[in-house]
Amino acid sequence: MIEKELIVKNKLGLHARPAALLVKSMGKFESKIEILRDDLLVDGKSIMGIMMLAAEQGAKLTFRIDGPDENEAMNAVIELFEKRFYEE
Amino acid sequence: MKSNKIFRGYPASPGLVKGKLKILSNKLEVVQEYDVVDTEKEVERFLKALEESKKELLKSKENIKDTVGNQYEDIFEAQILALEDKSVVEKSVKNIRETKKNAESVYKNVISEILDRMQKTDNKYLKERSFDIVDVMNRVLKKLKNRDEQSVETSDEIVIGAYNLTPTETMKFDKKKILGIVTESGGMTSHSSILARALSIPAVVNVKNFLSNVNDGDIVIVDGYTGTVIIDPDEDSEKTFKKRKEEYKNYNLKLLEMKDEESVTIDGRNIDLSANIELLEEIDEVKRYGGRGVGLFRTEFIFLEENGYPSVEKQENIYKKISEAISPDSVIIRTVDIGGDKPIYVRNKEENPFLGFRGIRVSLSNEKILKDQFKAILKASCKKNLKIMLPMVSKIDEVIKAKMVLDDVKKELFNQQIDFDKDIELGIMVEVPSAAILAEEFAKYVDFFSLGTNDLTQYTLAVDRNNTNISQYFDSLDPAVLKLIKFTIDAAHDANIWAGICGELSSDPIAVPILVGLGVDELSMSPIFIPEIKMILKQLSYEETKEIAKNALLLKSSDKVREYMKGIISEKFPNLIKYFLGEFYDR
Repeated sequence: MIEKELIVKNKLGLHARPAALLVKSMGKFESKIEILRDDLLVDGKSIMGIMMLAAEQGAKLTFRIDGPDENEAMNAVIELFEKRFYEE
Repeated sequence: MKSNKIFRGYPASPGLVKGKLKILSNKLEVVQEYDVVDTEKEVERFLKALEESKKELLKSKENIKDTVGNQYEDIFEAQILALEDKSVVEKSVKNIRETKKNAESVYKNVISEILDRMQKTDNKYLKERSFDIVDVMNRVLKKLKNRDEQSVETSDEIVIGAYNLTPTETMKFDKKKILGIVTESGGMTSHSSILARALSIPAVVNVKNFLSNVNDGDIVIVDGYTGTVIIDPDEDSEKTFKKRKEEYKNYNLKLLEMKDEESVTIDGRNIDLSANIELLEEIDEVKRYGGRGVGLFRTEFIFLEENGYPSVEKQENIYKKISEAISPDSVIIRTVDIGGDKPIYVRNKEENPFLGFRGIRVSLSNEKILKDQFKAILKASCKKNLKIMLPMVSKIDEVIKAKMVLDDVKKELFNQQIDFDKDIELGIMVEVPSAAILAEEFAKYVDFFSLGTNDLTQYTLAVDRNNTNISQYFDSLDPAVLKLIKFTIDAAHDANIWAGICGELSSDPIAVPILVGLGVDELSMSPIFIPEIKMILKQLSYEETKEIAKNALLLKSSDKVREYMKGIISEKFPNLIKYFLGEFYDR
């Protein structure tokens, strides 16, 4: 299991569009993906879960990924966050 | 039988259109709860509704791909993912089996929990955006309720119906696809109304009980001239619509013919008609409607986009562009007025944001904001047509401090041998009663006044302009407000500086003769209103307006002033009454 804290950088936060990108990307991996914000833990492959986080710009999210392709999955997550979900 | 339901609101942005209603709502459909016997059949019914909804979404996605572009396509993808979300589907199926309740009530309960959590955030954007998800959920709920009325696609030409729209939302609209806007809340001066005018989208706001009486897909006529909305119009209304549309068109064409004419009264008093704008995209409109420069360039958008701290370069770039595009006419740049209904610098929620940390108060307490903005304006000022205006000034000290900051920045640029307009004019918004009352003193420190009549009215009459419970109390034609306007203009002229008006009052045909009579030098308004006000101006004489203003100021209430002015306008401008102040659809 690997764990990493990431900060939402895109201006508008994780609204429907970036959440969809994240889900589509995570769907390609076999590993179990969980996202933690404060006391709320959601499934990283569920768009409703991600949107429940209501993660605005600056929000800190902890990604917990567990499975055979956990490293690849984490790299994909990091890339999306770094590229600000291609929003600006 | 057509229901021909007629609603009334405020005419926030002119124009007459007919389209299909698309409701943007954060609320889920109302559903009935009842027991079911055959739960497996109910599960099947639920899954079928999901499947059908998905098919529709996929079809719409294909339809709009080529026409609107992938901004909407992405939303459809998100909606499809939400529809198929495993946890939601599994939980709903499980609950149908366990509770033996109907699918729509179970499904609604499951998603309500999630939506509540989603909408609990303080982040306005995320909260508003949850309607993307609500939209798709409602599609499923409607199917289950067997209310499968004609669905509205983004590819249709649509009229948006909403409780309220944020500026960001309004900005996102594609002008070619959005024919009109109807909202339940808001006023003439709320931000979405201002933006609707900027984008030339006809809008009616403050339409009470609208959303609970209409359905997605209803045919709707929006008359942004009179503030009338008609749902499911009958043959008579359709006929009136066509006839009026033609009349408006001819009337507007005639107005536009005066585009390049001077804005002078019969007896030769010149009054500059300039534009209130916020976006560079609006420059075309300023030219199209014959605006004489920009009387108010709002900079809030630049700051909101960059979370409050846009770089000097970014600002300079924008100010330079507008300076060049509008030259040789001038552009008044108002330093950022964030706060009030747009709080980004305030950490803790304020009880009374409009009486709180906003305008010049923010810029002075966080000097970098003011310094950077002054620097950007000065660096863009080589064409010598930029002026600076400070918002929300309530004390002389604020002007003195701001001038010191401006001098510092000038020195800095001078030492760096950067070229700028050394004589750049500095003015203030007069929108707090204290500034109007002390106008004589303020006039010693500044080069011009611009009256912000919206805020001046709200502060003078103690009426929150966004509070719909008391909107009948908000009237800029109140004698108290008119007296403050007169006071300010007189003080300006005594000190040999000019005074303009950049509030909504300057585009109100009923108010213009009074304002002219009070001696105003400039009227600044949404570009779209300029031709009409010019037409009025050209038929007035300064001498007679002085008399009108004198009479109006003797009246005891805003109602009396309106009544008096309506009489004058209907006598002098019968067409205006017919087209813009009449009640068309009353029978």
